[in-house]
Amino acid sequence: MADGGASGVSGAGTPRVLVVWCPDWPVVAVERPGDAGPAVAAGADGSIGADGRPVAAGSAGGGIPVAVVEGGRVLACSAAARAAGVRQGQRLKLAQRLCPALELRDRDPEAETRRFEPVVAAVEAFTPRVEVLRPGLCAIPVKGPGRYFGGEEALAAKVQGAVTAALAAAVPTAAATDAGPAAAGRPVHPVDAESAAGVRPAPDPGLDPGTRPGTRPGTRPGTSPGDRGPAPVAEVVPLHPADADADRTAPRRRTAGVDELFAATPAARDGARGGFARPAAYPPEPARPESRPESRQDGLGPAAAHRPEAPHPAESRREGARPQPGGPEAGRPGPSAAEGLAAAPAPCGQVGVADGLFAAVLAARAGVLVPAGRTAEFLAPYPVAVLGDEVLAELLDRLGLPTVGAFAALPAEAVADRFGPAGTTAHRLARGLQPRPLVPRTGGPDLSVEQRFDPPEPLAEPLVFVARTLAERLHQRLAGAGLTCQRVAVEVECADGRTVARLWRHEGRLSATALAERVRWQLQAWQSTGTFDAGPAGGPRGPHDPDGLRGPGSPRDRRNPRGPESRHDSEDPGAGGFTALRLVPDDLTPDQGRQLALWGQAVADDRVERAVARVQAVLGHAGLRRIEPAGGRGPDEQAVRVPWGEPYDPDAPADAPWPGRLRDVWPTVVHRTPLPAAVLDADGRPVTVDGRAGVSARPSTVTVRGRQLAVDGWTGPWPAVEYWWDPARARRRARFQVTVAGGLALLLTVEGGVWLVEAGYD
Amino acid sequence: MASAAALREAGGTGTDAGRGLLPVVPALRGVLPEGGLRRGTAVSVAGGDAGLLLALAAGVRETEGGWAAAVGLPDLGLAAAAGYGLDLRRLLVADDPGPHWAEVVSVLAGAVELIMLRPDGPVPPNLAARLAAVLRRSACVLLVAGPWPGAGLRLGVRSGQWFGLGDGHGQLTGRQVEVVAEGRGSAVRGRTARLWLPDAHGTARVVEETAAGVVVDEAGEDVTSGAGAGLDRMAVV
Repeated sequence: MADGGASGVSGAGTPRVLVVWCPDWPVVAVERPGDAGPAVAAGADGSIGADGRPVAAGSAGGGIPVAVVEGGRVLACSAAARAAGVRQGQRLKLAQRLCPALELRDRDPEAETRRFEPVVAAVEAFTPRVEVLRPGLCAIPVKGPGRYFGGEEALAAKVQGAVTAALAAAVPTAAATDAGPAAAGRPVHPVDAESAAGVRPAPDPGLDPGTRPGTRPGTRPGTSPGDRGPAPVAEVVPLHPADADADRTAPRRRTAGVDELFAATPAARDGARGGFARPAAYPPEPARPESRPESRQDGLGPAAAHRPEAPHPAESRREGARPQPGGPEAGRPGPSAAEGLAAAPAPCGQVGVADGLFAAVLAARAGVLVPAGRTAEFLAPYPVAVLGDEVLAELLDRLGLPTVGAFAALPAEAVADRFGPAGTTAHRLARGLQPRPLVPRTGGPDLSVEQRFDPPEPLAEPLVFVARTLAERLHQRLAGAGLTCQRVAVEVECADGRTVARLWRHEGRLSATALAERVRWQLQAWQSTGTFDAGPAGGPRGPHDPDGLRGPGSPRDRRNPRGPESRHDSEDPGAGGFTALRLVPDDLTPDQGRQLALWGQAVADDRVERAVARVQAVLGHAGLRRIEPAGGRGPDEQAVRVPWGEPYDPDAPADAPWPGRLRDVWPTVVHRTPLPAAVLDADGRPVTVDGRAGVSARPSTVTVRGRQLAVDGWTGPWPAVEYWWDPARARRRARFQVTVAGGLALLLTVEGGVWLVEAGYD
Repeated sequence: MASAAALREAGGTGTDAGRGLLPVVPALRGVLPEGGLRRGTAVSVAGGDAGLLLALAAGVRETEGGWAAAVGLPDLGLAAAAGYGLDLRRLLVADDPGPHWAEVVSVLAGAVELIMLRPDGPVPPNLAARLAAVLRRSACVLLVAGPWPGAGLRLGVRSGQWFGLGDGHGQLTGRQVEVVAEGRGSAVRGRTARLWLPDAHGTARVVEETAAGVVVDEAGEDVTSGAGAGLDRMAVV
């Protein structure tokens, strides 16, 4: 174990993945308080005995058979339903015939996601890189957290404990009775067992013994059929505690799995789970509520009987088999875990670790930890249907290759020849490899150029000289690599450790001189805005802080928090001089020439481009904008201001019809934020507009900015009801045009009873 | 840039009248003393009447590929600008230059034909003089919304009247204004013109003579004498 746990990466280079799987999640998500006890309990039971149909059939009388239905087929079903013969993917009619009492529920994806959230949060505590494959199934890379938490074993145990605790806490309906079992169901983590034991009140003696013991003894024999012969898996995955179970089940999976697994969408779930890894301790024997130790003896009786090689209490065997280095669980005695065993598991999570996501999902379903590099052996007994390609699986089956192992044994070249890319992918999966060879993102060559100054250069001018040389070198390097860069970052390091950087649009069109010129502009701009000033002892600056004038998208704002002071002396950068100048090409692309027109027909000539660049050096990237036509009804929606150099993608076409749009005479002053106004009628009452665009009275005066203006003429209201289908964007307003004394005309808007001056005509 | 400026200077400051004038829309030719905006000068639009500002700037379209810029005019009605004839694709806007407006103007002056500007506060005369030098060198027209020290030409509107609105019906169809221009040199005697600013199509148009006797062009001397006072009054609005 130690080797697998410590390495984190298998020898084949396939990353180790840990998958957390919560079985029957669609059912869990829609479970209701009423059926929580029996249904959930039975669900967990049934999942155990899932592959052993006869087992559950006889025992699951207490649970409510529940099935989640989607598209006329069974998406998931509770154990009781499964016991009655309901299967995933079954037609509704058949399912109902098999199980007349079947309770059908619609799928609730939101609930699935919502209720899975605590699980994800619990897993995220181990590593932020959690990938939620779907609600009920999430994966994390083992590499980092595996080392941190002391190996895969420990990580798996801890994750399982956390997930179980999260599930127990997150299932409110089951809180009273199922929290305990949930924890107990995965007897990996002591915390769970303890918390469960602490939280859980004594289960209803009438319910528990009534259902569990009846269920359990029946379940076990079916689940871990001791009479099965040992399987190759036993040698294959010798490290796992559940090997004893696994070896027994493997052959059955080969045989029985084929018929069973093909039906379900994620095939192999039942067979894999029930057989391979159901650890000895997993089937928690229901404790008699009043007596912990004795009940344990009681409950374990049947299980132990089926496991002659492990007569020890289940959990201690498990502890021994799954060592948790350094964990307090290592020496954990049975009884405390037994407390948790008092009831059947609630929605539980299973953890599996294997090479690659595909195998890890199967491992999670089986609840096993596959050692690094042995994933192929783990996968070998599975039927080919697990590979997820129905057509291929059917074909392989007919070709006499029913198992993944048999398929994996074929030479890769032959598979590629015969089955093409899809076959190759499946073959790689079967061999425990990534579905496709890794294509690592090439980080791109580091083409940045820099010049260091030692001692620090106090003046800006030498940097400009150096910048030209640097730019030439940069361009040589780019040309040598056949690349061009969209942007180039100019970074200046100061002696006090600060680095200021600024991106310039390059697009292969800047010459070395032009680049050097930009460096100069930039240094000048920084100096004039006090970028390099150190400390608060700077001189006075202008009345405005330039920071406040830049848009939030300005690169300078992001990169360059400055003191509020300014000193306009270029002699002293204030930060002890410049120590380095660096030009870093950004967003490298193959040099394929450049497109001349910037947009439309209005090609900006060099003169404008340079002026724009210089203005942007002063005001920031968003400080200078161009105009793009846009669509809308109001005066402010006819055009948008786009920062120069940024692409613009209109979300509403400008030439579309805009019913209710204002007509030809547009206001010349459009207030960025409409001014609040008061519109009164002749009696001094506010003018209102009702829902049918009726005006309460003739507007008599408009008060804006404290000035009361008499209304000469008015018209309206012009209702504009926009995006009524989208609550986030819906607006409902009415516009008025009024002329007031003084030869002014105003565009008034009333929205929600509030009057605003949207624009002015003058 | 230097070479471009030099070229421009060589051509622009010469006596070539065509080179030295930025064309304006036909409706405004009558009111401008030279029939256009002299390049390299600053023009003050009293009161910052945005309609007049845009009508004056619309002449940039008649230059070949000339650009315009708006500095410190964040609430400029772009739809109205397009209505007056300004080419929005060749418009640069620096909405919030703040205290850097002078720097922005001096940089943009080398690249665009015309700059509309609303300064960030009162303009000290020495700064205006420095910018005047930049403008002369670059042959760019500066249209200032508000007063400007040493402006070569001052324009304003007065007695504006909107048409089209009734009592609860109609819609704005146009505004008749009297545009007043006064300045130095040949423009020392003020001129006025009665214009639709805008007319029903959003553009500037001369008010046609009607039986009602609306003054079309060439106002009398009495207007001239009162022009300055009139501009001041308008500036308050």
